[in-house]
Amino acid sequence: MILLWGPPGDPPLNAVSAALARRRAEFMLVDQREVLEQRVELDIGTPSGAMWIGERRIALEDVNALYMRVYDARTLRRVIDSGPAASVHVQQVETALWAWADETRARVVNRPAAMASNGSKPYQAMLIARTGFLVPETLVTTDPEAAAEFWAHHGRVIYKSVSGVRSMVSRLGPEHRARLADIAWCPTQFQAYVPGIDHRVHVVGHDVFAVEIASSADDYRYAHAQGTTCELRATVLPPDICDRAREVARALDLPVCGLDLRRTPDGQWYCFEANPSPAFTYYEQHTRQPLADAIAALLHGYQ
Amino acid sequence: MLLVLAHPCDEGARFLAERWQAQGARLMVPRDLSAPGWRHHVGGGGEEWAIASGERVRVKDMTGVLVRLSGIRDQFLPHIAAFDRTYVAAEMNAFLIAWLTALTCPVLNRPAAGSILGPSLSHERWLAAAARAGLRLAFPRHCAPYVERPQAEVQVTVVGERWFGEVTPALGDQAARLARSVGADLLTAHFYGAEADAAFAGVDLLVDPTRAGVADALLSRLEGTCG
Repeated sequence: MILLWGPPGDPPLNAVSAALARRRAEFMLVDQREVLEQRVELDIGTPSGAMWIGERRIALEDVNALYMRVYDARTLRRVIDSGPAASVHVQQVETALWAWADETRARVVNRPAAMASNGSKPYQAMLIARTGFLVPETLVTTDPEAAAEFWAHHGRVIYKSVSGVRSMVSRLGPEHRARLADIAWCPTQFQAYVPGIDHRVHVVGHDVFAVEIASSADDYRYAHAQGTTCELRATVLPPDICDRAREVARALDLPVCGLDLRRTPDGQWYCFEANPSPAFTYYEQHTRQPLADAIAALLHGYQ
Repeated sequence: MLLVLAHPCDEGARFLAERWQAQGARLMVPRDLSAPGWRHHVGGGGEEWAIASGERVRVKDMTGVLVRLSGIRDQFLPHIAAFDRTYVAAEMNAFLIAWLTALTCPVLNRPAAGSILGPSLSHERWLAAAARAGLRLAFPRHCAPYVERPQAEVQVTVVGERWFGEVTPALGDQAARLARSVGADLLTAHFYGAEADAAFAGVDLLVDPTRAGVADALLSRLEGTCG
């Protein structure tokens, strides 16, 4: 059986659910909104265990594959309204399920421990660099003087969060010069701007789906908010870059991931980030690439 | 120079910083991450600088780092505007994971992707790791929501290949085996009893440095003079 875990309405979760239905695969949705009715029993050291949703029992040893799109359930209205005990319940139940997701022999897209690398961008960049991709020259600093030197040296510099929080890329401009002193309060990440064409590459098992993005925005995901445009079209990567993309997914233990690549005018390839829980439906809608079907096949094929 | 990354109220950290004065030990506290002077490079060169006890230090002068913080929490940052504290704490944690990972000197414990203190395992995953390492579990069935369990009163402190505690050698070896199996240099394993067949209860990645022999074992480990 395939388990889907997350809130119904999440576009990637819905898309994978529909793709599994088209394949007539046996699957079950664990609705994260019902977390207060859920409990878990794990038989440590064995594949056995059970998840209960009210009176319904799911034998965890029968689960061959798991697709996770979970959110912080403590922010659910029902949980907040139910008081502090509900929050403790959520934390304990979801911690147990995350632990199971890390320990089970089932195919998991993606294991929580593997997803953690995305929580520190410079840490993940170190891992990505080992796979052969170029990563942008990066300075993380609390030193305004160092930031100014880095800016002067590279000419064009972007800044973005170190963690996955408020993760938006912006270019340094004259309006930031007076505020550089503020970085003394918190390590801030600056990167040499890399010119070129953005590519979003989804690795799904062995399959690689590439999208070329035409946008003048610093961060194409926010092109409309920045008053610019963004066009996406499916493309094919050179075979060695496909292999390198697969290698990143393998090195990070992410059977499914979304890589942010950029091809420079002189044909070099940079990798900025590997998203372990990609919202792939945005790209699917623009390109008709069969991403949900590929993920469904990956999950179904493991049975 | 040795660094002890800790909360300023951590008495164990202060004990070690004092004891290791001859090694130039300094405390590094969360407030140091809000001081000008840090420089960390990825994907390029440049001199690396850090801040410890309010002073700039060259990273190349550091000979070892002992981590005694599980992470930066909002409440450690009273000097940051309340609205920004959660964000700044997340940024500092993400930075420390990258910075500690990149260090070439001994770091105890080496950070994991999700934790600056080492293997970021939940209690359930520690139980699973212990079962795989051949330790006997007190409660092999784990329930969530949790069921109240009795407190385990026997602790074994592991520092590298060495262990410390009033337990039989066989039990101490089990704790060391568990640490090895998850790639942790330091941990405190909790057991229900001191005999070889005592059941495992859980793990704490912080160790008590005032326990006899532990501080010297930590120093040896940081100086790379023991296995």
